Amino acid sequence: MNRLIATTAALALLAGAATAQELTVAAANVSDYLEPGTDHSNVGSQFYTNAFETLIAKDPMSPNNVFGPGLAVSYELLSNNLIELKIREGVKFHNGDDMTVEDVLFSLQAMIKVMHDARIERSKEFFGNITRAEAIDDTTIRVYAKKPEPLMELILAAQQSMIVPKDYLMGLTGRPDVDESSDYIAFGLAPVGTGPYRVAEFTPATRIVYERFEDYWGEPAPYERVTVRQIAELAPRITALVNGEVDLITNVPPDQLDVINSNPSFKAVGGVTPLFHIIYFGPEGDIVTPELRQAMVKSVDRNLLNEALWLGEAVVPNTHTYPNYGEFYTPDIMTFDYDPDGAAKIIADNGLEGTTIPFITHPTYYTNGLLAAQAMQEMWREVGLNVELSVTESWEGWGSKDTMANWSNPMYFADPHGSFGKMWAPEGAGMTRGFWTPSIGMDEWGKMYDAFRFETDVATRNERFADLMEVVKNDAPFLVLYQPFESWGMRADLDWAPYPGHIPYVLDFRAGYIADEANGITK
Amino acid sequence: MSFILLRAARAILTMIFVVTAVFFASRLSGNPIDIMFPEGLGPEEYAFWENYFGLDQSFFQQYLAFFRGLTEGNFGVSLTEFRPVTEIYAERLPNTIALFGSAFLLAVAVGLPLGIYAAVRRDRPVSTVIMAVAFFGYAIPNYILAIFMILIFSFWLHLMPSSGNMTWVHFVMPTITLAMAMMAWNIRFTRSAMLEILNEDFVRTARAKGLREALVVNKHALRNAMIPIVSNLGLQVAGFVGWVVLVEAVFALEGIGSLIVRGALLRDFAVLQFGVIVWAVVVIVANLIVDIIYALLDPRVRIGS
Repeated sequence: MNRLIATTAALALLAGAATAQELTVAAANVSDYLEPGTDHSNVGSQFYTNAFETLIAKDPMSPNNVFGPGLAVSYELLSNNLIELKIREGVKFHNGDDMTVEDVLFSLQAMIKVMHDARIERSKEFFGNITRAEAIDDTTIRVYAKKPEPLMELILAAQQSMIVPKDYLMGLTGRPDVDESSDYIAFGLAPVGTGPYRVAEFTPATRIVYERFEDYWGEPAPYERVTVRQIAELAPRITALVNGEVDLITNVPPDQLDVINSNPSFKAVGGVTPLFHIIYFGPEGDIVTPELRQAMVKSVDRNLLNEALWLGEAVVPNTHTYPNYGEFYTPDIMTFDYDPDGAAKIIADNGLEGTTIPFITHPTYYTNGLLAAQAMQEMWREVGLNVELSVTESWEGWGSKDTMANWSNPMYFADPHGSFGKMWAPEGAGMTRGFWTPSIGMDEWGKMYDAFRFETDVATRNERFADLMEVVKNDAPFLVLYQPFESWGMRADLDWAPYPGHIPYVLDFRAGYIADEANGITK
Repeated sequence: MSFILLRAARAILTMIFVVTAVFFASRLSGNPIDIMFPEGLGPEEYAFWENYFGLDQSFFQQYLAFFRGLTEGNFGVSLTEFRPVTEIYAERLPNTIALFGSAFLLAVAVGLPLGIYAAVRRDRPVSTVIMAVAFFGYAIPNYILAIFMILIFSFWLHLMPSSGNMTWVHFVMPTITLAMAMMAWNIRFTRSAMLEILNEDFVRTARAKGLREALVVNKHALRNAMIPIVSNLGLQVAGFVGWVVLVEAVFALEGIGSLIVRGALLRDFAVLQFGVIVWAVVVIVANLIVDIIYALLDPRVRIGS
């Protein structure tokens, strides 16, 4: 240990690096761009909270929806489709610009009526019911919804609602008075927000360096500098931690936890992630039929997968619901039951014996993704189905007709619309890609979905959600496998964990969310 | 002069041919957008990115646009990093030059004297040891050596950083790893080149007329053996990408070897195309330097002759 400390200190001296209040993180993946309105990836979600903020802040510590002031000092729901917000004064962007009501309106309008086509889906998914935002005076804005909007606070607290500087963004390329697509792309490489850390250096897919933003309006960032480096492979990531090169590493699979925990200088911290690993099917064709999907969904023993791959630490749900939903958590709905006999009967009745279907997967993208695919391949073989794994770095064939693949359904905000809806509502990501055409017809599905989406009575809304899940059970367009148990490795004297009120994978190093004995930082 | 012009024209034609081959071959491997957005895109977003990168045009139109860009000094925008490839290469090239340059110098500084010694004193036990080490260095893949070094010096002994390129210390293990194979190759090649020359008649004549052994070896034998040795070193430089690829990957060193591999895996056409241009330039420059050294070593070789 002494030698480790001495060597580390010597290396730091050699590097000429001041070690005061610095944190170095090795992440399995670093984003290609940092533009919060376009991004909805699991990789990107790690990086926004330190540098960007929303009007309404959601408490990361609480698994429930607890809201508070963010860049708005207060807000009031004037009706069920209208919210008024008082904008915080004295807020500066990282480039030195003052945040004005113009910036706030621009940030929201750029999601409501998108100029940048890469945001189209985000706009539909998050802002589909929001019609406009307008300024009442220099510090007050109103946001209007088409239909009664029970999720107004959640939408305004989402990553896609983060506030960006209008003049800076529009001036990046082309005409400075127009927000062209190229402006958003340029912004993704030189992001500017209002958060406690500014992005001082960003090399896509390689490194993000945050530095404390001295003009931050709130509690200052605890670290002077946080560096996130991409170390894609697991073994070098663990070595970098054990060797004292980094303080924290991401994406530690369960079978490596002992490697870290057996060393008293380090620890692994994990938690069930608000994200589902799922398998889904491509558009129907000669192979993918509702009957085949039903048989395949029924023949997967998810509890066995959990025991074998996650040491029982993952959570296997009955339906597409998270405990984070609070009063909208519906664990009693049974949508995905393990029934190999039922699967065998469907296969026999429909002559599906020996059906061959390609399963597209990636060797490392999802923790245990490939192992799960291999295990399920054997489960399907037992009921007479022949699944051919196509393991590729390029996801070749992903989403094609007559295929299946693994995917994730993250919880983008703590409501069924923030996960199930984000993927499987009529405008959801799975539907716009054509993965599923409901047997009841798209129009009817849309009506059923809206009946759930805009219902304000809790019990009735949960009933409507159960109606939706009944259709899912019948059509079997996907199978929710589990909420994975993801782990992070770190120095033993660091007190950090993923917080239950965040979307998955957020690396939150703001004041109050990390303690670091070596750097004299307390929560 | 005409010789230089002829060589330049040939080099440019070769480069156009290679870049064209890479241009079409990489595009035949499929569409990069699926890889760029692994969690999928909706049809409208997909169409936007295809249009943005010009991938909705025919291969021929893309090819014309690419060459039009070249004439304007525009080498393209990375499909995965959304910024000019020249900017990316400018960030990474110094790391690769530092790594390859230091490994190359080490391999030459150690490999050539040991090769000469092993040839001149071929019956000594030390020579046997040198050749055994050379055999080991030649036989062991550098990524295996790299992993062992990380295991020993980083994981167990905590003496060296295992990854990155922040300080010169981060280059120590990658340089040794890379130099090992090059050095082994240099020892073996230098030894065999020297042995061949040492058996020549003029060497026997030199010895017969009573010259000191050092003079025989250094002036008569080595100078003649240097022609194939320099050719070999030129090939090493020309093949630098092949040498650095795995070392950069294992040590997470941000150089252009790992960039080109990533470009191939992610179908980042612009990165690949510019990588080939950079590589071709290095090959041309290496060949030019080798030619100049030939002329210095051998008075019979004259530029323009």
